[in-house]
Amino acid sequence: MKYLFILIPFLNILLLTACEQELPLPPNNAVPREVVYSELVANDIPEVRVGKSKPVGPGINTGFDLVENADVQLMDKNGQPLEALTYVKDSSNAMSVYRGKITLDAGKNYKIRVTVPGLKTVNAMASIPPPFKVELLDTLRTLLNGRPVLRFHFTVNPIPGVKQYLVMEALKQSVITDTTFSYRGMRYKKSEHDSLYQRVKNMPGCNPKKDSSFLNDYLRIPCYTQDENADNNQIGGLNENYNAILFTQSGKPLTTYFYINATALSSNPAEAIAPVGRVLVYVKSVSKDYYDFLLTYEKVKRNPGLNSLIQAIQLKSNTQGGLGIVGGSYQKLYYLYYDKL
Amino acid sequence: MLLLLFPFQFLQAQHNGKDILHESYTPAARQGTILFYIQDLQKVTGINVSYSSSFLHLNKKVQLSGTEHTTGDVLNVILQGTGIQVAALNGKIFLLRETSQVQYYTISGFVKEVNSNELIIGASVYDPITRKGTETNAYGFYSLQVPDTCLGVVFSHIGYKPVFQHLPPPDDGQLDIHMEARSMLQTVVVSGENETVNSQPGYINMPVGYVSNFPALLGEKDVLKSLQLYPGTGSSLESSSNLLVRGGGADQNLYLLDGVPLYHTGHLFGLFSIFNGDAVKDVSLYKDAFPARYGGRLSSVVDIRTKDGNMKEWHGSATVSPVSGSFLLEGPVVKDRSSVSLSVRRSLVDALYGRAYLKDYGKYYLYDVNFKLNQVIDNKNRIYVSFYKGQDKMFIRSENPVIQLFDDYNFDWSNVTAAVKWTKVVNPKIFSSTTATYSRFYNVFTQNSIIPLSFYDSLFVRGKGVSRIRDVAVRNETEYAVSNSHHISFGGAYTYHNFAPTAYHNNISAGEATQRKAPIYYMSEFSAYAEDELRLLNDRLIVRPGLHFGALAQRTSFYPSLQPRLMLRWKLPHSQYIQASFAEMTQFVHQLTTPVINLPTDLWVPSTENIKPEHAYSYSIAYQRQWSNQWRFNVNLYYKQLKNIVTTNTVLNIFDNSDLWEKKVIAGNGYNYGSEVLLEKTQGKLTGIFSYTLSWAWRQFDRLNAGKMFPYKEDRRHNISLALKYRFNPKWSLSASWKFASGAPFTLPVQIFPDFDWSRNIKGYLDERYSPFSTFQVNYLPYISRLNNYRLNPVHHLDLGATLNLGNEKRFHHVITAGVYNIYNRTNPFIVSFDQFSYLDYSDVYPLQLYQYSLFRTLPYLTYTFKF
Repeated sequence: MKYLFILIPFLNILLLTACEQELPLPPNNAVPREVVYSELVANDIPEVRVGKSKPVGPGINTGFDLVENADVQLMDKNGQPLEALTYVKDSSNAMSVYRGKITLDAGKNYKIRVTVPGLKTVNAMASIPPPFKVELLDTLRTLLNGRPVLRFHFTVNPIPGVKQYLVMEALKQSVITDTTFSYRGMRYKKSEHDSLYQRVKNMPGCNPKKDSSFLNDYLRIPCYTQDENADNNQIGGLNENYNAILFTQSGKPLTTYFYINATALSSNPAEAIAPVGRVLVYVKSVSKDYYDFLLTYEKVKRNPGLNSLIQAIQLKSNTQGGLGIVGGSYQKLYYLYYDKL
Repeated sequence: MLLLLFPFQFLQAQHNGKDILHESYTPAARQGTILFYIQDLQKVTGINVSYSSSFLHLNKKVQLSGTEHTTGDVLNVILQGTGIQVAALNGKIFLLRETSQVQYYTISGFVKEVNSNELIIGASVYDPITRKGTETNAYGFYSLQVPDTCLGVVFSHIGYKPVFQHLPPPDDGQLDIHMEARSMLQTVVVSGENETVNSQPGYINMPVGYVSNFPALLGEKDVLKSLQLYPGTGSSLESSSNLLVRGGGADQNLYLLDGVPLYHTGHLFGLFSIFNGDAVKDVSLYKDAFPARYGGRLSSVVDIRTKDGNMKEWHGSATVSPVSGSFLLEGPVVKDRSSVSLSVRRSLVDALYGRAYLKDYGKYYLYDVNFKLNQVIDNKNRIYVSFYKGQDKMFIRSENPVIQLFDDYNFDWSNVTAAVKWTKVVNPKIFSSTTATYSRFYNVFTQNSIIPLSFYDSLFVRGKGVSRIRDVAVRNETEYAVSNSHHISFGGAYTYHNFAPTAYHNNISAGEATQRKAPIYYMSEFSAYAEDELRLLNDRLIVRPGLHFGALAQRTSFYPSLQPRLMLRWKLPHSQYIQASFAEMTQFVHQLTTPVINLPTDLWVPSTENIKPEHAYSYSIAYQRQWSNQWRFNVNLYYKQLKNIVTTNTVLNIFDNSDLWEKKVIAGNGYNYGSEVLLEKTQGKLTGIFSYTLSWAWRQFDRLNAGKMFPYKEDRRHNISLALKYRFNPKWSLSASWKFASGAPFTLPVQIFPDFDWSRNIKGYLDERYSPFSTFQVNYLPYISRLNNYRLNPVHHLDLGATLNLGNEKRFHHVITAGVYNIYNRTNPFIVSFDQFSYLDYSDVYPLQLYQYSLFRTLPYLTYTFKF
């Protein structure tokens, strides 16, 4: 269902008739804060994204600086250091990424401390939920309100005595497929040395090989539910698309249909709506703070901007001293390959 | 003559005049009238005898015994049995009614305009000596008890020449009074006379003539905007007719059109109210001290009565301006028995400019039709039938020269009300009105969209949404004037509500989507009230306790509510008084979405088993003083506590049956307080209003702003209105008004920080929630420390107007009004957006700032009215 915010046409009418004036932002004495994002995933290594906020004031723009000099500590729930995460230099990252080496355990609490010179230190704690069992009963290509969708039939079993916060979402990860070849003992990429490849491809020892590399580049696939027990009911209608479908599960098995937009499953070179890649479908059990953040994040995504006609949404956060979210997650990941890689 | 009113005992105590009652006097005859003997006594003795013919039957024949030889003896005999006592003072004889013998009788009737028989609401009826009196009710009826010593009563009203009616009345029937309107220009002169009886600082009663006093946007007379000149009132946005009263939302006002509740009162985003100035007779606004008969909203009551129609002769008017046209026609169907009034207003923008300028954008028009039939059954019974329909139709073209929209939109919203009212004078002390009403608000929205699914495939959506409210009600109100110092009113009502807030369907195959039926709510609302008005301590203290009972019943819930009301007024010397009041109000219906602008899609929903009714507890204390009926000053302090008020923590998509609004509603509290000052000059060549309001409005919701209080979006610290009118001569008058309102609260982020998805290199361009296939993704999130932490620029504008009246005294006359709105070309904020409102800059990094959109700059207006 197309999202029918009735306000939008009205606002557009106003724009047709109104005259616009740019006003300077008022002075602001606030100082930048650390921004910390991390999803601590069970059985995975810790990864923390660190950035810096910008006080809203005269001269501000939407550019954000990388923070390459942060000290990022992973600690247990008592504050005992487990390891210092190291900075990963990667120009494709929008925020600075710090990565650890130890594997995180399900059902444990972890603390993150991020110190950046000149900024207030950020502390956050996240508990990784215990393992849970999810069954994919079947999948089906079908239509939902005129849209082609892929339906997943999931059953999530409860954990006795534990309230589970479930998140279902889908991404498409871009892939680059390239051919490597040998020439005089060296391997070259065809994409970078195409003329050389053309000269040597029929020569003995060229040994061309196709290879697929998954990139640090994702497309969010809109997802849907028709389940009135979904907490998306608190956000909008059930005919809208969401970043994620959210459930609070307490004690009872959850059987539900989870739909993702099928437009992006495969990439058509002629259209290039979606990149060539693989589809990642997640079913996660997440920490409460993270869940609350995702609920408010959906609301922010749903609000058509910050303007004087619409009530602003305040994002939940658990990063003391800074901004962002540090969440724990136990996840089940399904890979779907529709594109020829 | 004043001495006749003195207590008899007072004069008896005077000894210096006793001798004249013993003066020798023997009448010439033993039989005659009282008048004969009095005149004879005066002639023979030369003693002056004072008396009032109103309580002395002078032609009564009396018989003397022949033994009477003094003045006192003769007078005592001829006045025997009349209750008249004889007293002497300062060489005069006074014939006085004993105090215990003063008798009261009731006069009652209707007050009407002489030329049309139009009933006059709020006319004062009072004894000019004692200044005790009453006023006509909403149907022009009054009931007043007067002593038989009273020589006459005065009838006065804003806009009408006062009438002095001698008493006793010529016969025992109803005393209907006909008042003559002041000349057209004089109607703008607000007489202070009636204020001595009925004015309250928290109550504004405005005759329709007042509406056209001051300059207006596009020259459109608007009753709600006129009310905004008074303290404690304001609007959400510049020149909006959205009326806000004492920090309450627009949904907290009870709008009654001839007694029929209305839910949506705005045309064109609320720029104009649906109340056609031509059709309206009288507007009352209650801000506090709510009479017990009113209930159902928290902040105010706006009671609007339309014209009944001229009972004597046909009259009419036609008005045209460059944007609209209207006409009014009223006259008798049967002279003095029945009349009709019909007024029609329509915007002309589409007709005049549509083809040339607007066709590329779409189309818009509005119209209003008011009709009223007024049938006199007899002098005690009357029937009114009234009807109103207001309609807005809007079409927005997706392909327009300014902004590429994705859809064509049609909006079509209308109000229909109908009422049948029966008023009955049960007896001179009891007046009753019984009303059956129907009210419907209907909003249809259609949309034609093409949603791309891929570059070669798309989805054509033809959607239709309906939002509807339907009320049917029956109501009785009875007034009982026990005595002048004791009035009782009571009544009851039943309303059947049928709410269908959202119903949407489209042409798309739902596929696996669950087909959800649109929710429809059937409810019964009951109300009953009783109120007692007592005047104590020689009218110095007025006490008005009241109780309103309301209840909302549904299949799954029942909410009863007892709402006490109390008003106390203490009169002080020199036309001063202080007043205190308390009122509890309950609201069973709630408005969701974002009513900053008055959209037809604002969603009215009922209380349900999950959503409780809203309550307000309002306290006020006021002081008022008048000077020589020309100046009025009052100051008011108020405090209002709101409980269970509702809001949504997200934007509702009302045209989606699956968007379950009950899940998004959160309840909280509100606190409004402030003070108001009004200085008004009501007579003379120069008239005007100065009002100032200092106010605060806070809201607190557990799930918003970390549970802390924050300024309500309609919070305005200062509101100032200054409106002046100068009448040079009967032809020309000039007016000016300046309005100022502090800036509206706005939530400005303190910081921005990288977006969660953007930080993880996740693109979101398939998200259809904002716009399909948008290639632009905002890369930041706002950090909001407090809601509504920033103030927009204040709104102020100076407007000038001039009125030229031609042919005032002739059969046909003409009124030309012209003026300029916002003469100093102020750019007032209408919408302010943080960041680009629509994406103009697609760069990865671009500057952020505030974008203020203003709707009105300097805008002239010109209207011409022809009247006959």
